[in-house]
Amino acid sequence: MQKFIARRMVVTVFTILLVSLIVFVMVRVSGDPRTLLLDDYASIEDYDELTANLGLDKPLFTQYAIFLRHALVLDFGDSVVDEQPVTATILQRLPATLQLGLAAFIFSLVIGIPLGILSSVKRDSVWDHVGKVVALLGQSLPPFWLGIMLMFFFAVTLDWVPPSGRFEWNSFILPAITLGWFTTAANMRLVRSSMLTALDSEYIKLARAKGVSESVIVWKHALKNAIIPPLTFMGVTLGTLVTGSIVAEAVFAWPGIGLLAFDALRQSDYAMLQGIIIFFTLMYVGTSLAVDILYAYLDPRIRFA
Amino acid sequence: MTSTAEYAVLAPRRVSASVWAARLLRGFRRRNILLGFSVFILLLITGTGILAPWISPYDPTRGKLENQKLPPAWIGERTATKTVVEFGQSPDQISISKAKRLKSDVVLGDRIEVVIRGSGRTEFLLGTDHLGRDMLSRIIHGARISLIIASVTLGVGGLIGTTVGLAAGYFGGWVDEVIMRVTDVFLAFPPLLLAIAIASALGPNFFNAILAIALTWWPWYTRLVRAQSLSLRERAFIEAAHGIGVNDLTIIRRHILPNVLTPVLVQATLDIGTAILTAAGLSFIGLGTQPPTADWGVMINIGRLFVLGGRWWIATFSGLAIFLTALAFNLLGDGVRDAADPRTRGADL
Repeated sequence: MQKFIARRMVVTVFTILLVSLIVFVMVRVSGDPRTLLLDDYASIEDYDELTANLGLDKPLFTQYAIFLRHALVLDFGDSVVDEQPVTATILQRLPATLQLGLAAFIFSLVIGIPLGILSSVKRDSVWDHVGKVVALLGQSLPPFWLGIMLMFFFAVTLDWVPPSGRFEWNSFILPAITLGWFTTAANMRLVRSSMLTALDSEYIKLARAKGVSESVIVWKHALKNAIIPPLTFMGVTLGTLVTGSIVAEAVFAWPGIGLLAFDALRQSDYAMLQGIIIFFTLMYVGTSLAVDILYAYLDPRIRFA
Repeated sequence: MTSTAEYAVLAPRRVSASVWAARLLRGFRRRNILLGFSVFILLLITGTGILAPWISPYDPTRGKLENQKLPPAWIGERTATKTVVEFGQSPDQISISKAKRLKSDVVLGDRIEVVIRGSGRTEFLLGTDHLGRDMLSRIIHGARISLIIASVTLGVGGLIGTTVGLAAGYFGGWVDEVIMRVTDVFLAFPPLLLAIAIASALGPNFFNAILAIALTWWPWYTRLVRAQSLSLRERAFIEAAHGIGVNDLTIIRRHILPNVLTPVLVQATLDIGTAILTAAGLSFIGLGTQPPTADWGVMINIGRLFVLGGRWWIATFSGLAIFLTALAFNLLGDGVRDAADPRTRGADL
């Protein structure tokens, strides 16, 4: 168990280091910041002073070390666009992203898991076909397009919900569906296939032979075992929710970190972008590490492997 | 010492192409409609992609502004009754100066019929975008871009992944350990985020988007190939090849590679749909193909701005193209997987 956790931690640290290196290179090759920060009337002295201030006169390795030292305390400098500290802006946008992510996550559980159970228990019924269609659409629908189409039908044409922005509860519906759609389909597929495996196993046959009622078999015996694969998948789920937020927030002008990333990309605000990418990575590897450890505690097969 | 003849007998029989085709055909019969549909769509899209310059009615990157934002051919014009006022403020009002141009004898307070959206024209079947470019031509050319990105991405990713995976699985030991830890790191964070970081580091364009996606894709193939070659390495026919003194490179090339190729190809077919969606996603957020190139993701990004004004067709048709292509590839992937591995047949979609 300790070995498992230690191993995961080492991978996590290297992941963060790799991302920080990519981000560091990204900012270095994206252009000379001095030409952005200085105007046409700057003298050679201004230029040299800025070089020294930014640490650009030091060797690349030292620059990376300085970058890492700042990154450790979540200091990513100021945005090139509004000259506010990057970290402050990200933290200010964080609640909106977390709320939307939570809404999407709940949507994917509430729709995905019951549909998966229904389609496995009632094979070849209408529910099974609905489940198959949902699974296929989840893999094939581009989320940004789904969002735009939902907006057109439910906000523009029918005028049931606001087309964009973060207001009352009904402004959550469309962005949450857009963000959670892929996850819903994934949850449904995982629950369905693991339920089918469980329902086909020997202990279920024994329970049936003993005359245990069908509802107890499904809800108690089968589901308890079938719910583990979707749980392990939760790390990946959270990852798709993190990166998916860029697209979903861009479509619905949702004022979170995803929209911030979308705008930073368009405005070439690399300071902001490096902050967001590292922040997203930390959020993702942090949660997936937590999920893995939790999972190892729950499932003895992993703990002792 | 095992003779060459004996060790050839020990080698697993490779499935010939005809058996493969037969299995796929059987799959077709089983899921007739779905697979037939997917093959039809794929032929259509591949055909239009290849023949794009010859079959597209207009230049996809040039348009006339007088033709801008025309709806699809079957949509009629939309009119509204507006009140003539001094200065138009709300949507149901029209300023007197504008109204005079439509009808010379209007006075303040009149209610007149105004065309707010022209009708579609048969020469622009799917309508036009904000620059008057023909949507049908752009979608036809977009098929080409989309197919190129998906196939090159998977080609590069598959090539890197297979090579590295073969090395890890066959040599084992520290080579395996190093390679697997590197793939762990790559797999440990969300693929789109990595692609965004790489694409913005290299600069947003068509080639860098391909490279960025390929770089996030290879570890999956490495894992797959490694697992396969690990078990193959222990098989008798490999040991036999070792025994008669065949060198490592030849063993990998002649005996391991052909046996891992099937799962790699199956996985690649399953992945094309996702690769198309990822590429379109990168274009949508501005990191892939750049305007004015006709790319489906770029077209949706432009189109989303006009949806609020009721001009749905710019985003709708390009999205429909992505959706149908991804759907068809996913259905085909399932069919190919079932043909390659009967155990998964009908297991799930």
